[in-house]
Amino acid sequence: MSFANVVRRRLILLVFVVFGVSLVTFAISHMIPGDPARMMAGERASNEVVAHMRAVLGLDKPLAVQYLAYLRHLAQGDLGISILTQRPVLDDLVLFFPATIELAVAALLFAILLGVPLGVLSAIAKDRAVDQVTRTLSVTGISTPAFWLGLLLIYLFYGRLGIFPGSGRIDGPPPLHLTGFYTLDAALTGNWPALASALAHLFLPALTLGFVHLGIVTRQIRSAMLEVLQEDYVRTAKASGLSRAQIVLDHALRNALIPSVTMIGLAFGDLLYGAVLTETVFAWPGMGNYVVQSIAALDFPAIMGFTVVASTAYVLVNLAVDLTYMFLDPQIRAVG
Amino acid sequence: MSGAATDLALEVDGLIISYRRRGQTLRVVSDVSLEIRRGEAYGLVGESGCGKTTVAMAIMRYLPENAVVEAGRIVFAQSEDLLRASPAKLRALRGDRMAMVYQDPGSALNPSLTVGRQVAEVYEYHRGLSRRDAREAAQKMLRQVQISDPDRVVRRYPHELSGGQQQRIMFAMALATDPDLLVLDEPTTGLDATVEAEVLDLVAQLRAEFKTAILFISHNLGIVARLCERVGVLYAGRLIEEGPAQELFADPRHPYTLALLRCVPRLGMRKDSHRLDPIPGSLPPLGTAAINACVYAPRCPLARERCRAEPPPPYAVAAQRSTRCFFHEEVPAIAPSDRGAAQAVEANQPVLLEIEHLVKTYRSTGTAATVVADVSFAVRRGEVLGLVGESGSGKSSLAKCIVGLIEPTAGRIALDGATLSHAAAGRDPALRRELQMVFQNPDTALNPSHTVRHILGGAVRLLSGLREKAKVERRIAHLAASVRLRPQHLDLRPGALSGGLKQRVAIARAFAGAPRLVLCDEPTSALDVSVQAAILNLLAELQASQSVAYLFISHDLGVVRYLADRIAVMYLGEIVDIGPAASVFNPPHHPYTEALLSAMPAISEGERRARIKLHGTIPSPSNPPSGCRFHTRCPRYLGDICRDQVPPWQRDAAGHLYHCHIAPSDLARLQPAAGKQRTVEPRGAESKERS
Repeated sequence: MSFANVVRRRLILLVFVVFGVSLVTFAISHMIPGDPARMMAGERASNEVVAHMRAVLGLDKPLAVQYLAYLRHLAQGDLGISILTQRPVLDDLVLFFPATIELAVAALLFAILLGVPLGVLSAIAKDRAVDQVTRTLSVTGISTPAFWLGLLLIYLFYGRLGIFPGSGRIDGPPPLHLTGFYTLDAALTGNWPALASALAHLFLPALTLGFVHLGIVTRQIRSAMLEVLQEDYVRTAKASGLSRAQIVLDHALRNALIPSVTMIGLAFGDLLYGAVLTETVFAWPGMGNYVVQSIAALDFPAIMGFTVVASTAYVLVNLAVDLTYMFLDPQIRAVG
Repeated sequence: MSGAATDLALEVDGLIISYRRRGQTLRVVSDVSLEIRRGEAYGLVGESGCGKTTVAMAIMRYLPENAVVEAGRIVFAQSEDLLRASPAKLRALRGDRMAMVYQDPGSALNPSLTVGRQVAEVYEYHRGLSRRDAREAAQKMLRQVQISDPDRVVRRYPHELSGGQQQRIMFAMALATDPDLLVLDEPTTGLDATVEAEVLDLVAQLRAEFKTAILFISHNLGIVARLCERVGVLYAGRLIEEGPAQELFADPRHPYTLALLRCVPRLGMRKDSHRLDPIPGSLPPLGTAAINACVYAPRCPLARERCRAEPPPPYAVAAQRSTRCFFHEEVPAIAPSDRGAAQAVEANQPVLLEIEHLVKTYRSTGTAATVVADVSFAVRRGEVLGLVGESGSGKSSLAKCIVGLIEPTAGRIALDGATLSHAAAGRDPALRRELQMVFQNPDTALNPSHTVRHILGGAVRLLSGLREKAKVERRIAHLAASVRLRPQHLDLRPGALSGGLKQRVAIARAFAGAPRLVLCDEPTSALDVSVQAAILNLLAELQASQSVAYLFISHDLGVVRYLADRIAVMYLGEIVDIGPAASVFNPPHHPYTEALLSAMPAISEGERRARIKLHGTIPSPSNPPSGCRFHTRCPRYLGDICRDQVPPWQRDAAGHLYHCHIAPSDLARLQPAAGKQRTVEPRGAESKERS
């Protein structure tokens, strides 16, 4: 099956996923007790005011009607108005979502770029000192709570050494808005001071968020490599007299990456949702804060909007994973 | 030839190898010495666990980490002691001057690199060729190993190639640098008979072309006899006999070699005339073979005091022949332990199983693959019907349809005249009990966490309907005795049993009720020949004593010839040849049967047949050829009639039916019987037109 076919199939699937997710989220958020109209109007507001508010928000109509109206708007790209901020939810998401994605991607890159070499090193030096150190590091990574690590890093690098900023996304004005990712926007517009500042701000939160995944990636690559190194074709490569580097990098790593890609794709989902704590610690203006506040205020449109966008992102990431998979594994390419 | 000593490609001298396992040192190779001259093919034979692969791995210096070479030298090309060579030196030798081809090419090739890339890599690394030159060299090499359409194949990934093509790629990699020594470790095990014959033809031809010395490791005596000049027989890590292949097989001088040869069902041996002669006892567990005695003494009919007190030295029994047996002069006089053969089944029994127009089609998006295409046959009471064919012929699918593991698309299956519903769940439990199955691999067919008693007990309760504990126990004991399991085996788990014992448990389980028909799917193909002999004897006995019928699926024609009363040959979902065993094996028969028979590796010259070479691989069942399904590969292709018209059933005098346009009298003239060697080549240009 061709790449184009897979992409087409997944995009069709995406419609169903968004429909299902919106239905479930809608049902749950309307079933939990609480009245957003009352919350908006205030504790002491008269019943008339609350009823008016309810009518304005459309909450007086039957649930099915409300849901259909929501779907109709969704199909037109309208996610509704946030009850809390009184701004279109879409605008809020455009403002906050890139920050979270930027953080998650940076954390993932950190985990992959460091984790893959460490895992390979650990596997080829199995049970030797390098392996012991790496394994300790990976267990530490997996078992360290992000908020604790975050506070520690802030204390060290911001409080004590003062070499990295401890909060926010950037100092001074943000770069021209193109994608919403400050690092990318700054690089695209050639705004080097902004790029430096954005990268510096990104460093500690990404390290915090990525540390857990560094442990997971290292472990995964190590065990996949150990397995692959036992395969007959590695024996063939050795019997052909190839050098160790060729065997490890050309023959083994390529095959070890195949099972690891799935795991990394799933990790991205974790990163999106796991960003909340890290964002709180670093006062990172991302989705985390926005969602927590929306939930507290029963801000249905905002909660729905976030869920729909996040699940879309998740499906897209998994599509990317599958495409990578096809690229790496010729057998999948054939079967689809 | 004493002068040949200056011309050695490989010399192994006094090799001793042990494995360290849980603090113990287990000796697996004991004082093995052998020499291979330039251009010579040396066969190393032995059953699993005899240490033959360990020897090969030691030569390639690729032993597992827990292996220790305790003593010995491995001298390569009269210069380098491989056991003392530096890693850099080894890398330079491996893949350049010495190369290896393994069993199971499917896993020996890297699944995520194109095969062209893998062959080219050898040229880049050892010959320093540029990427482009290496690719061209690789293409040239693929042509030499007779891969059709090499320009296309270089861009393929291993999974896109057939097993035979994959093994050709392995040979291309191994021969890329024109090595001095080629180690072949069971290179055809797991391949279909016709593919195996092709690969062996290729080896023979490449030998002539490259003048490479070959160390050929195999458990198959027929293959070694065909390909090698000299043979060494390994038993429990010792080289117990050595000599020129033909002489050694014709006149063995070690009791083990003799016993091994007597285990193999040979031409003219049938269950009702000859009992196979399995070797009593079993191989000593790894590393426990006596060092200060003859390793074979516990199983040897000639064993005396002396054999248990000191290890026999090598005796020179003839020119270039040696054996490690004190009493080698008595070996030719060892009588076969003739305990009488199983009784023949009376002819003209009523029909037990009837299959009519059975069809199984697998459908997936857009394609439909018919793996069983309108098959009809019958099995009589107490009869063994052998079902043969290459992988992809549909024989396993057919068996699964019969037991109800998969549902056929159309057709009728009747047992004793009663039509069976297609799904096993819809069948009368009584009928289900009468149909049992024995699988190929006893390791995976038995639950490893249950004891043998538990496994058999479950089957007894389910299949014989016994409930009372004492009766169940009695039935278990009876079953165990009938398959010759000892009472102490009952409380062991499968993991503690050898392969042969496990298969006995699986057979006992199938006989727990009172089956009328047992489907045996390759029941001995995972077993060593000495164990296979015991299992075949057991199956023959059970058939005679319980008058049960077998549908016996196997790719080993020797085994089928021994056990089956009638034989059906399948090709691409159809039965192409069916009849009494003797008449299927003798001309006239279907050209496909002829090709299968010619691919059989035979130990002695007299059993060999003219080689019929098939070209190409078995076509896809989703797009079968028109007319006669075999016409694209048939060596006796007539012309348009084969391509356009479905052939009729032809019947010869012996009641033997085959599906072909050629009449029996004409075929009989074309097809020579066993023993007359003549090679029939596929026609080149003409045959290409057809595909």
